[in-house]
Order: sequence, then C-alpha cells, then structure tokens
Amino acid sequence: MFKKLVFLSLFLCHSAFAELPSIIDPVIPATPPGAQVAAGYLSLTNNSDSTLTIDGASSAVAKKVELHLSKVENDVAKMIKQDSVMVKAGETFEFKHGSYHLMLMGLENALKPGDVVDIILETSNGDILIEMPVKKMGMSKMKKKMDHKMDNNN
Amino acid sequence: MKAENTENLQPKSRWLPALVIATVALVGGIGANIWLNTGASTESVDVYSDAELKQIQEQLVATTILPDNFKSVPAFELIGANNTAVTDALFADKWSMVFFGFTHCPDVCPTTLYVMNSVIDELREQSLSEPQVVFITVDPVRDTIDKVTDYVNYFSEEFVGLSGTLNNITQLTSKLGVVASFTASETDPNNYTVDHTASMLLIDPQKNLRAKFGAPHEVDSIVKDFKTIIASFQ
Repeated sequence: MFKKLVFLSLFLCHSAFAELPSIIDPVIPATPPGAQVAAGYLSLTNNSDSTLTIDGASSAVAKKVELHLSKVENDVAKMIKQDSVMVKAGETFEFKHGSYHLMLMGLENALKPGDVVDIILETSNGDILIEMPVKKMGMSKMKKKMDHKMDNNN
Repeated sequence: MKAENTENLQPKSRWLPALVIATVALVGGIGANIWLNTGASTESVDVYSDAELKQIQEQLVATTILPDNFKSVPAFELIGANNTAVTDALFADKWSMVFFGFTHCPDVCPTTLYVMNSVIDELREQSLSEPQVVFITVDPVRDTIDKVTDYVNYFSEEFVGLSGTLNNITQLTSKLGVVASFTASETDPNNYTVDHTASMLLIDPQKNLRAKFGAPHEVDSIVKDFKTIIASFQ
C-alpha cells in the first residue's frame, strides 16, 4: 500500500510538469489455472508535445513484466522482447492481441475475472500506475457480436 | 577424327532421350498404378486432381488446401489426460483441428484456443458436424500433461490436450512440418520462449494433413472454410 502511494505521488508530481498520457481500455484476459504467464493490453495516448518512451513495467502479482511483441513471420509465431517502445507526441500506441503486449511472467496465482492488477509503466515522463481489470477472454468480442446483431435488427 | 566421332554419336543421342522418357513413363506408370491401387485398398479416399483442388482452394477465405498424399499423421505415442497413452488412433475416422503451442505463451496460444472454442460453438449453433480439437504442447519439459489438461479444459472440457517426451513430440512435429524452435531469454537464462507454427492444421478422417488455417485466426472465416472443405472432401 505504501509502495502504491509512493508511485501515485510520483505520478501526481509529474502531472504538474507534463501533460499526462491517457490510458484507454486496459485489460488482462483471465489466465487458465496453473498458467505462469499473462498478457496485458491497453492503448496509451501521448498528450504531451514530446516523444514518450515506455522503458519497462512491473507488478506485484508477477516476478517480472516485460514489453513483448508477438509476430507471425512465414507462418511461425514469435515473441520478441522489446527494450522500450516509443509513442510520438499526440499519437496513440496500442498493446493488443497478436502485437505488442505487456508480458507478465512468473505469476503467483491465476488471474481471475473481477481481479484488478496494478501495473506500473516506467516511462520517460515518470512512472504511471495503471489499474488493469482482469476479464474473461473474449468479452469485448462477444459484445461486438451482440452490437452487430442489434445493428441488424435496426 | 573429330567429325567421325560426332557422326557416330548422333544417331545414339537422338534415340537416347526417347528411350529414357519411355522407360520413365513405363516405370512411373507402374509405380503410380501400384500407388493408386494401394491407396484405394487401404483407404476409401478419392484422389483429387489439381484442377479439383484448385477449384476448392478458390472458395476458401483464409485456408490453404494441401495436395493429396502430402503429409499424414505418423504412428506416435503421446500422453493424454490422466496420464493415459494416446496414439495416432486418436485421429482415425474423424476430422480434427490441431494446434501446436505451449502454456508459457500468453498471447497467441490462448487467443487461438479461444477462437477454436468459438468455431465449435458456431458450428454447433448451425447444427453442423464438429471436428475434434487437439492441442499438443511443443514444450513438454515445462508442460506436464496435468498442466496441458488444465490449460485446454479452461477453454473447453471437450478439447484434447497432449504432452509426451520431447523426442516423441519432435518426431511428430517434424513429420507434419510443424516448427518448434527454442529461444533463450536474454535476461533470464532459466527462461525461454518457443517459436512455433502459427497455423492450425486440419487432419482428415484418413489421418492426412488436408489444410492449414493461417493466422490471424478469425472465427467466421474458419467456420466458412471448414464447411467448404468437409463438403468437398466427403
């Protein structure tokens, strides 16, 4: 809790000097029992007028959090660790399925729907604390399908 | 001397290619005949012409049809739920969708299993025949059968999860042309990731590799292509 407050205060200090990035739709799909890893997804908009870099991440629920890129090349799925990612001024960077993601490694426990995982993103503008809700996989897709069906009814 | 030689050789060189072609055609013909007869006697599967396969391929959205007699599931022995031995008999007399992955894979593998479950739901909703879904780990050192079983059952209780010895799994992947390549982590020598084939394989009831569903996997295109394929290869 104390640790959390420290980060939160760091975050608030920074806000006085730089336009805060906006965090959109943070989510961690719930993990199968026994899984040692999880992926975190979100979009980050850099509202400042200079490039923002994300240099790393951490969380109390995992031994390590890395920035990873999933990529399919010649029908081979690969995961490549990224030292950092850059977000240009005014642009939005997406961590999403089949692309960049936060890779939580060495989970203490399975992450269940309803859990909220605190993740700290280390950026060139300071640390940012993000509360990431854990959701059952595919919820957004199911919603999309339902919306689509509703559109058809209209 | 030189001219004489050339003259002597000329008639021979005119006949030789024809002779070679005739021999190849004869032997090839006999060979194909034996192969076709053997095929017909052991399996009641038709042989599809290139034109027929091309016609099926043209109807597919996100799937590659594979040629006849391309690759088949070899004899194997792996381990299934509750430590039971599972052999290639698993693939007999039914269509199967197979994915090779590993449980330390947070993005591609869960997404693929989720998509596979949605494909089955959709086929069931349309009252169509469903393939069995098989997930085989390419990382048996970390993925014990209990881990694999828990992992696949999280997506569907009906999915079959397989582990086994690294040797047996490597034999299977190499026979099916599936890639599984280990890359050590730069930051943690005790950790590694496995690059693996992204496609889902479709195995027909004669245990032949019939098609590959390429990534990214989308429910609607897989359902559509699966329907086309089972209708074409009845």
